[in-house]
Amino acid sequence: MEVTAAQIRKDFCAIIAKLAGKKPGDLKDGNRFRDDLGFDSLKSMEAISRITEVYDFVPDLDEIMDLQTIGDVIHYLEKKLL
Amino acid sequence: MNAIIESNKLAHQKNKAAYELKAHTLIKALENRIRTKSDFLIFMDLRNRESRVSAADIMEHGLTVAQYLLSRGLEKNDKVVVMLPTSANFAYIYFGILMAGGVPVPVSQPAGTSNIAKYLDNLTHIIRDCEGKFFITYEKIKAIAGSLMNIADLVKGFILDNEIFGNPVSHDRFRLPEIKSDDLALIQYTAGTTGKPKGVMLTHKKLLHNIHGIGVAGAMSADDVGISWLPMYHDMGLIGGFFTPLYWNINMVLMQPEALLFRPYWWLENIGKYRATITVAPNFGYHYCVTRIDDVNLHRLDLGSLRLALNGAEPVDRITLNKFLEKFKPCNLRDDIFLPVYGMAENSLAATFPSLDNPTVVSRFRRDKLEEKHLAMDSDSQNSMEYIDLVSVGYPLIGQEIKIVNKRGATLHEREVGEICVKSQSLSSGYYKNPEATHAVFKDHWFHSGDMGFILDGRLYISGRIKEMIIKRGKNIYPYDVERIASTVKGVRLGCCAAFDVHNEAEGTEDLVLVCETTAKEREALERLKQEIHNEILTRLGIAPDDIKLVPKESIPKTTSGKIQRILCKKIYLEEDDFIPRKYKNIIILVKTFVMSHFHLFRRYLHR
Repeated sequence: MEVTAAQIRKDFCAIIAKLAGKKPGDLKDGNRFRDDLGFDSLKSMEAISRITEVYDFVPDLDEIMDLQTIGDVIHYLEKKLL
Repeated sequence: MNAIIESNKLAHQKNKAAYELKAHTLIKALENRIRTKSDFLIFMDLRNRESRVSAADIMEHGLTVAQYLLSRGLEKNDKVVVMLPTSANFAYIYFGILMAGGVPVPVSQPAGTSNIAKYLDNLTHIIRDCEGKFFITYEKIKAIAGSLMNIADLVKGFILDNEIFGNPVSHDRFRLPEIKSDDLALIQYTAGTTGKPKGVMLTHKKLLHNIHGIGVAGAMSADDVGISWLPMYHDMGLIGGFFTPLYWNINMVLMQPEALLFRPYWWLENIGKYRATITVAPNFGYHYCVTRIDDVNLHRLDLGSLRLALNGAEPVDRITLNKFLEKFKPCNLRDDIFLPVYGMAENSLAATFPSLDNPTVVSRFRRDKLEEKHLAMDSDSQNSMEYIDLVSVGYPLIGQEIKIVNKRGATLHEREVGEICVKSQSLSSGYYKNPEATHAVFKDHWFHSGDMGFILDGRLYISGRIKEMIIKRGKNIYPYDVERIASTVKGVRLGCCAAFDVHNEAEGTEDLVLVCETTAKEREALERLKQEIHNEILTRLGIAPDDIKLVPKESIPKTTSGKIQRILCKKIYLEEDDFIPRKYKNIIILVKTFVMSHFHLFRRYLHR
């Protein structure tokens, strides 16, 4: 299966929605893990960990330090996977 | 007639088996290892790729470190504070300091930038308290904590690890001092329940007595392969995950804590890949695997080689153990692997291990007798209000003694609850330059742990901490019990509750207060959650909390080993208007728990 930007967005929003107990449609790129979604460190890590598991991709942990919103993660993955 | 008079056995266990150490200094242990089996460590990086380090490598690079430190003016017994991640350099530098005659003082890495001020306070305290002459860290830390550079003013030498290996000093330039078994080999800083961290002094000999005992209790041999992701600065990672396998000729796979948190699957995958037979983790690690590893991946795991899974550093939860065994049963996991263990930094590391013939012993006791009479009486009740299940942590290690004493110091009988005391060849001589704190807990060669427990059939059970026992209307309530129940309520953060008593002057009694962390924010949700917690505790324990306070995540103080700091929590409850998350105000202490502290890579973006 070819990876597309739309697929990454869909998969990541599905993961976030499940973890946050929200509908994927209610999520916005600008949502911050901590302040908007109420995620603690472990949960944020779990979200990023889970999406990278879907694509069998191991990021450089230093690089993902700066990702703090849903959009940040999606753009990072697009850059790495597309 | 009660069971005490029936048994009439004193709550005093001594393991008298004779033994002889295989080495009297860690350096001798390293030399032995080079001769017998130089293959040793397998470090896994953050992509789970291996790099191997032999005992000979540690000697070779350790000598480089020793020569470098001597060239910088290190003298015998100078303290060297080391802040490094799990890595080959940690191993080289630790042994280099020992070979040069210095004393390593390992410290944790900062838990992100948000709490850096408090972290630096603690670090400054440690460096001053131990009179650190050198501080060794790594290049990358600059990005995480620029302000760390102020530490340079406190020490004679602020050294980055690469400087040492970049321009190696010739190995024969300085003569290495003779290292004796009574020389200090580690000062382990421990936060304790309250107050500033104290430096536990440990000599080569004391560490080796403990390491020997751990190996005997675990029937360890060169046929074993170990795996750990506990940080090397922490006693369990350092003594259990590095020195013990060195001494017992065990090959050891060392992962970084971040790797475990990001891909818990790797831990279990590596067990299969390297045919690991022994692993170690706090309860949290096993729980995390149960919740984070998808069932679809189970068919790829083979855990059939594992014979021991040590579980220590935090209360052992029977439910977690069962869930882990059940989930990974299809991966050939044996059902007798869990070994709940007990120990403390003041005793080097380990004090008790269960028997390998019967490693996980869970017993049910009458709650009323335990709480009101301090007696452990058997129960066959199915009503959780009437019983309490406790997991035994086993028997004293070889050459060690445990006893249970009352407030006057008299030894109690089996089944009577009192303070757990430990005596052994591996007991520290005390806290570095702190006679007051030392005399408070080291008495007549016995260490008074502050932990409450009892002995039954020779086995030790832990029931709580003395100072934190809640007494409500004459009834003793174990805080962990209340917290464990509160943690089961959906919306409460697991392991992030603190229960304590507060004196109620009006009624002349003690109120039960419970503080729980939650991510809920809306007022309605908070009220609902409070009610649910209240009802759950009432239903399960038959007592109602007098006050429940819901606080934001990361508000409850914990010690470096992950224990809830209940006394400090109570102080904040009484003196502060509110619990304030660490990101806003650095009132709450703390070098983070060794697990949480490794979230720093991730925390940085979360706390901006």
